[in-house]
Amino acid sequence: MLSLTKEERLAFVCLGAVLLLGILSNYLLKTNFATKKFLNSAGSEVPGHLKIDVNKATLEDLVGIPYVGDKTAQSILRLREEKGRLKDLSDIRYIKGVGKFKFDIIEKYLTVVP
Amino acid sequence: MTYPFVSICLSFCLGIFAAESFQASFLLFSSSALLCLFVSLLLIRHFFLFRIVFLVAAFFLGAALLRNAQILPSHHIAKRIPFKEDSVFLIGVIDSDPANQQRNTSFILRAEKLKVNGVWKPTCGKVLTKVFAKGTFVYGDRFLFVGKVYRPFSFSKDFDYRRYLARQGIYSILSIKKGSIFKRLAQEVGNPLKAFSFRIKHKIRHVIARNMSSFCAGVMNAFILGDRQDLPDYVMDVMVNLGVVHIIAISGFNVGIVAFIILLVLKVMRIPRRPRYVLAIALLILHCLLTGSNAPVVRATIMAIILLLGYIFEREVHIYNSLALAAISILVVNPCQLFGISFQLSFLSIVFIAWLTPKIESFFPQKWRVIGWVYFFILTFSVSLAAWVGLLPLIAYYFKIITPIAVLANMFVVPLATVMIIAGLSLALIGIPFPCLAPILGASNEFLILLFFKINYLLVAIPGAYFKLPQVPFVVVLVYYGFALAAYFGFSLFAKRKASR
Repeated sequence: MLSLTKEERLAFVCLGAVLLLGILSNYLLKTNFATKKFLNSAGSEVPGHLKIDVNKATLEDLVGIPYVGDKTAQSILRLREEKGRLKDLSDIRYIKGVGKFKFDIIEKYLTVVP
Repeated sequence: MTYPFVSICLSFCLGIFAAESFQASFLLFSSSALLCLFVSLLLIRHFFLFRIVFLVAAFFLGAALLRNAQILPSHHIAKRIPFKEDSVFLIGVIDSDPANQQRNTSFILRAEKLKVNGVWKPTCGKVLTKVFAKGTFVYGDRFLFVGKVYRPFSFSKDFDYRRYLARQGIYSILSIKKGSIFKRLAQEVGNPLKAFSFRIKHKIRHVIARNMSSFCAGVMNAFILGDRQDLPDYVMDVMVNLGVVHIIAISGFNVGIVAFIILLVLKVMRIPRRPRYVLAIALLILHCLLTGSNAPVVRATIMAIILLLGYIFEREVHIYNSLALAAISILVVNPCQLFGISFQLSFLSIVFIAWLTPKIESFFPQKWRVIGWVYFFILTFSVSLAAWVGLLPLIAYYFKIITPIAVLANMFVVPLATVMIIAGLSLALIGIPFPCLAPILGASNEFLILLFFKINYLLVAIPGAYFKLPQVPFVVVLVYYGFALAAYFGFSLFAKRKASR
């Protein structure tokens, strides 16, 4: 008879629990559309409360976003000053140096709070 | 001498630091090291003097090693092309597992030949290659590339990219645009063990991608394979802000779980004890190659190997000694690693966990520590707090952030991450031979990842979870660790006096 330590037995219990969890999740995924939507929402977007309001962001906030350097951040702030207030994130798309690729990434981190 | 390797390692590291700070020549350091070694040989019977002279020799050896690493051969590609060359013919072998990013494929190329002014010349050195054209690139293939070679430049004042690459031995970048010429000249020219480990890695990645959504697959690849190319940047930001980014970085935590699972599987297969440990060492080395052999993984793998060798030869293992030996092993190969963030964080975290955890635990009453689930919380709190205290100034200096929430976050995240790694490894190891079980394991992994991120997002939203800082002067870091060192010796002296009474 194999003698397992407490930690080794715990590992087997863990594996069993993972399998059971998987069976349940798989069943719910196939039969319940809400579960599928819930699971697909797992971290696929930056949560709302972590997004930066583009109308209140400082230069430091903007520079913290991936692919946004000093120049791009200052261009966004200049655009905001010219317009008074940005009503839509798509305005950023027309800043020099912000192509589709960069905009798709920046868009995930910013929001416009009405 | 209780921890002989610790004093040798500290001396060695001081030598490397001195060589970086003072621009003395390689000849001076190497001749001083030789002289000290000779003197130590003469003083071999006088234990105290021998110890001092040997430590001085280790100091000069460290300095000589760094100076040597900084000297490039005359035919090194960085010397052939010191700044920029727009159209270069370069032949080399792919020396890393190519990473397919959104716009390009990048890998490290070991340069062999370079065409300069119409003449092929031998060359050497690693080149970071970015191919913007479509193609299949595999580790060990020899390629001819036509592209632009340039010296790396730093695009942010906070991060010296050129220095970061130089620490890995990379002094040039090769860029292959769309429409440029590249041609495969030979296959499987690289290290066969590395090639085998990458093949296993790709199989595991394939199983994960087939059975999980793209986001969850990216997270799981980072957890168990160390591949962060598919991980969204905001995930890294959230984890840095929470102080739990070490979960994503393959380190001692992951290697420990992998070692445990390997030993368990071999035990279930009824392999006798000594062969089991030998096989585990081999598999851990394979795992290290598979995950990219970065400093934390190498450190953890060496320490695990020392521990297993201790079991095989029935010798007691001291954590500080094995940590120091791991550090020396890494620095002998690449002394520039001493200045790398991951090296510093990896080693310092273990030092402080080993030192402070028992002391923090001792603050809790003994009657609490005998209750299983209470002891579990006390232990996770102690380890979390010890690591946080140990890494606080370094994280403030490098990342300009303080994360008070890290202690609490790690108490939840680390046990959950343990289950996630077990689940991920189960998917990888069971999903390949038994594909019918892969969707079930994939679904459980998705659920666990969802739970992980829900907890992370809740914690990071707590007011006061983290604070951004202005630049912290390096002298603050030195003073902090100076106090820590003084406290360590103070505690040791106090304990010795208490024991002698």
